[in-house]
Amino acid sequence: MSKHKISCIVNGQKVDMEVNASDLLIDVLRDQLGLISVKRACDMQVCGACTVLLNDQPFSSCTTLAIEMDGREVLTAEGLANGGELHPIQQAFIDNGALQCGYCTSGMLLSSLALLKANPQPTEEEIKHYLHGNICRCTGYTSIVKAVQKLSVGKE
Amino acid sequence: MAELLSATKNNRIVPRTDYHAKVTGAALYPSDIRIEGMLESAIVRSPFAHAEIVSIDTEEAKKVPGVLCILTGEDLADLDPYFGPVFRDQPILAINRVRYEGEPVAAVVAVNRKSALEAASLIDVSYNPLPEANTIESALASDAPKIHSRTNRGSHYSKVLSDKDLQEESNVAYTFDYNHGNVEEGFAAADLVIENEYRVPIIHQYPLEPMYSIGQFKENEITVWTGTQTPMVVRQDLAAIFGLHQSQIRVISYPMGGSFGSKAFTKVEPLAVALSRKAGKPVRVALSMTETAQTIRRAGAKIKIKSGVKKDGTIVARTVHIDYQIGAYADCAPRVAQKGGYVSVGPYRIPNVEIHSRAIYTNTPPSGAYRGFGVPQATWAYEQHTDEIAKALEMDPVEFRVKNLLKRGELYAEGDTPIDTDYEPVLKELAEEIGWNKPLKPWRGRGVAVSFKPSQSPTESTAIMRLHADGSASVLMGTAEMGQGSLSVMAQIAAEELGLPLDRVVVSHPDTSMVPFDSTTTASRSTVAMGRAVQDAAKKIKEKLIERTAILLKAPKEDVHIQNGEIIAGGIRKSIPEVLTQTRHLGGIEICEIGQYILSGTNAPLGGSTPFWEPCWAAVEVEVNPNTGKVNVCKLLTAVDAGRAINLQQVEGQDIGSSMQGLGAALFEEMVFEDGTLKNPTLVQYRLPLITDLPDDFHSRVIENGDGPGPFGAKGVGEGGLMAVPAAIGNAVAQAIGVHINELPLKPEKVWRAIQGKERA
Amino acid sequence: MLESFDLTYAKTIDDAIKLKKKLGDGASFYAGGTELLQVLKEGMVVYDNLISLRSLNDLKKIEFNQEKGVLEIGALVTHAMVANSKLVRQLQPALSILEDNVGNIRIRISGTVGGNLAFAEPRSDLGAYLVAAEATVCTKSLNKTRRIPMSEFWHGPFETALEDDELITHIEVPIMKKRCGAAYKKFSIAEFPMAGAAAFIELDEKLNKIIDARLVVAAVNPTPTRLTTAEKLMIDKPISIAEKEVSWWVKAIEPEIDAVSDLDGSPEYKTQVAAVLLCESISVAIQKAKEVSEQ
Repeated sequence: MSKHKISCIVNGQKVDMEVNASDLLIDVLRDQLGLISVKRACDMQVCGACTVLLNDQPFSSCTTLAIEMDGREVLTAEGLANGGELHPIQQAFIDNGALQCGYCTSGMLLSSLALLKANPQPTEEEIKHYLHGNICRCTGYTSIVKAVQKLSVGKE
Repeated sequence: MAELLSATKNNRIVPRTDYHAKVTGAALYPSDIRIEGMLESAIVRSPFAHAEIVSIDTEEAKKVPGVLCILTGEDLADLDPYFGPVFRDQPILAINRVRYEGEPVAAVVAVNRKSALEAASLIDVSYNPLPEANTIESALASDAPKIHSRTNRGSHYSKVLSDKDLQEESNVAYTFDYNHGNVEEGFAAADLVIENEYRVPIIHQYPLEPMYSIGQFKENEITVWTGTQTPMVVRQDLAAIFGLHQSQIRVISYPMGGSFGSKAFTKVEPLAVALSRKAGKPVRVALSMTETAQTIRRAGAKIKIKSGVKKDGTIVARTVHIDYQIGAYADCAPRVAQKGGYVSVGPYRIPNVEIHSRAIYTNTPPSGAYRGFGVPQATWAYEQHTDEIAKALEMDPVEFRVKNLLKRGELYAEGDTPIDTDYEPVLKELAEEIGWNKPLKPWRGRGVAVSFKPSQSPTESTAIMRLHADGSASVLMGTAEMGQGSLSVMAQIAAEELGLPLDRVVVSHPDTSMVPFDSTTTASRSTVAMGRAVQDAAKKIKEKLIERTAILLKAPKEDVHIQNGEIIAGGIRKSIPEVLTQTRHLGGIEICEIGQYILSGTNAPLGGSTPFWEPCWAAVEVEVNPNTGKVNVCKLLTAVDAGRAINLQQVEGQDIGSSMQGLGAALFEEMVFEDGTLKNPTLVQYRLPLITDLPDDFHSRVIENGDGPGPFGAKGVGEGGLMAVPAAIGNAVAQAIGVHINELPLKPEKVWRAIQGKERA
Repeated sequence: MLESFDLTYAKTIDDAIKLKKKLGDGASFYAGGTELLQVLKEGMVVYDNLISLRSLNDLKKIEFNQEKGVLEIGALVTHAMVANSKLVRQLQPALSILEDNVGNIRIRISGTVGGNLAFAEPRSDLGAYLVAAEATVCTKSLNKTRRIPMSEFWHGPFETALEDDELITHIEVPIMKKRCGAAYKKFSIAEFPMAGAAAFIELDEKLNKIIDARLVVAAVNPTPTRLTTAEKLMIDKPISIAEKEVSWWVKAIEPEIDAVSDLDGSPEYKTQVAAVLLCESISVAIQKAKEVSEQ
């Protein structure tokens, strides 16, 4: 079983570590790096709860090899706030009540962030299209759409 | 109460106290808990829906490196290894017989999950398949295989059982009958009698977080780290199973990643403890999402309704036969059948009523609680039925409802609480808002539905509140957090009542070794019941603090007020720590009080009079594609009666969330069985509502008349959408396509075929 | 949870091919991983070795080959890259839209064109569209290169013309010519498409008659299938044929439909929906054909 040395930046911190080829990203993040915001739910790339960002792009960490961290910037929900100050996307979710149980929230925040990076002024349709693969069973989604819309550059 | 609970005046938004932890990933869920020395497990499950277990060969499995032990039914012989809030009929692992596909038969404990799974795959179980009863009809057939012989163990809800239920030898687990008036006379006097049958499939709650429990068994001590809505019931079951005292058992329920009823009542906790008992170390039972869906469901149902009406639209008689397909073990399903059955004629004024509700055992996984608790199934039936009657009478469906809906103060049933809401104005407003009388484009339709359910009575909640020396406070209470924001709401109530800033009050998740008894976190009861208990405790602290201040300042008590964490008496301002310190000889440096809310039994049909009724209203506009049968919900408007919304944003959020689940139940969701085998066990083929399913116009209106029994006039909320929305969608689709479809879900093919059938006719 | 395996990064295309030949059946190429890792997790297949293609930047290009009149899309190009490519939007707009609607955003960001074709999920939108587009799959193995027309690519569900040690390097997709339009529509009950229909239409000089039609049904049949009966019925017909009632189209496609009953629906319903989607695709394709000017 091959081991791989990887070097990456996780939530702004340089990380050098060794992983097995067959290690899954979600397990390395949760179990070895203590980043428990990454949640296992459906475990089959459908629900998006396990979403993490690699170089600003969303990945299903449940079905991504840990070696894909190598040479990339990894972002989980723990990396959103700046010291004591919440990221605007986190604040927008709080302000709009866009979470209830919170289990989908890490994935939802990161996916929303990725959307806004790729498209700073998404329409409502574009928001729904991008978040189509992030399931929330609690909120009914309306508050999530509102939260993302609040961050759409140029909106009131 | 003027500033009621608003951190920000006028806009009523109070960010939940747990939001910060949840958006930063700091919140600990049951799936995040790690205990020192914890081992992992894997479960072997039955591939058969009904079979005798002939043998279990664990020899090869034991050899897998890292395996500590394997548990089978045989290991449970020195325990009383059954749980279940009504019958206690469910074994921790199957004993001699399996009764549903997926039932746990053996479990492996190993140093890691991978080894456990590997060993589990090497366990060789041989079965002798038995005849199966997988549907209501086959379970009721005269030659149906008997799924259970009756037990009399009894647990949390065992009081719903009658002697008949305990002696019954068929697959009818439980019956509930209710009647008033005389239906024969009623039908005889009717101008029109309409009868129809409706069906609702088995669905799953699908919380995003699967079930996780860690059990630790020591000689005189059990600890369980889990996610449960009912920590006290779990404790009770564990005590009975393992023969320990409740005082020796500690159940800690962490805030869950969703539950909606799926994690109410004992689930995998006993297995975790039994595994620990054999392994000698803590053991985690970590289910996947698929396994969670194999563990508990919502019951399917078959409902027959017959109504007699006068030409002028008055309903004079109604009979309901409702059979719930509850699965292989009872869980709380008899209570579901009781509650759902009780209100299965709907919130209508009907002088002659006869209800027969039954919980039917079948060889499918157990069903338990899901938002609505039996009422969504009944509502689907009676609100479709309501529209059919209106159509037959050529009456407007809204007008027909208005004519028959119970009014505030009227009785639904003798002995129970009078109706405490105003159905008519809210229904009319929603109808107006949806454009009820406006012309409709082709293939569009509008529908409304109303529903109601009682909360829990008798009931009890007790809370402890501690005012600390520095003027901060802690609340110890047993209400579980599953996303509904209970921990935050209790903090709001405590803070508001005592006069503290919200951020000084901490409410922890329940730990049965620390919190006083609370019956359950179910039935939308907690804001009212636990809220009142918390308010009661806070009030007592306030009174003591005021009294001590009055003594200290030699001022009359009436002049002492607590506001925003400060004490004000006339012109004098004192901090709470000051008063506590300077009067500590009068009662200690902390003030600790107990609050309680107890409702006793009454002669109401369910044994207690509900503290409040939970009504719901929904109005829907749909567009149907006649070529594919696809239903698009264009507008979804609902209303919820909160009494007083302690947290308005959260109340709205609950109603919207519940309504979206209702949309899912209406259009997509069903567990498809071929005989006893589930054909769609994962999210690849079980369709949940997605963000792209959002109606263009979707909002909830919150009714506040301050008329609830909860703190500041609050009522319980949260279950309404799932109750009323499917029927409203059904009625809207019926208008769009010209024919009612009586069976959920309204999947495209079903709708298309209904259109085809109508066009041919 | 994954069974243990070794993973080697191929340094060049030839390196990848040599490794695969050497490691044999116990090895698999690894591109985006969305489909491969899923079946590995479920224990449906076991590999001792994964040969990662992810360093092969030569396979990540989208280029327009003017001489051949084709878009050359590298095997490691992701669905998202195709969806966001200006070239594709310009020269094969229906492909761009299709790729923007595959799976979900995470699948699109990881999943590759080559991986999708090689895995051969029978309900693949891309795999069906490329048949209608008359695309070519270009491969390399130890001793040769091959050009496999999409018409010969599909052998069965999860089965293709690819040989064991053959690596897809890129696909060639003919660009839309003058008076040609294409569209793809799909319909889903659950996560995977239940039915899809691709239409390529060429109009005459006056833009009111159909002179060529290539129609493919996706997801309903065991593999993507050309609807040859319906195609023949369209040739030399006025464009108003697109307005014929759905039931006419149902009859037109029935000879090529080979549907089974499953969780998504009955054969009758699937055929109905396929016909509805086909109507929609043809209408859009005709519209696009009127709009496209000479490259």
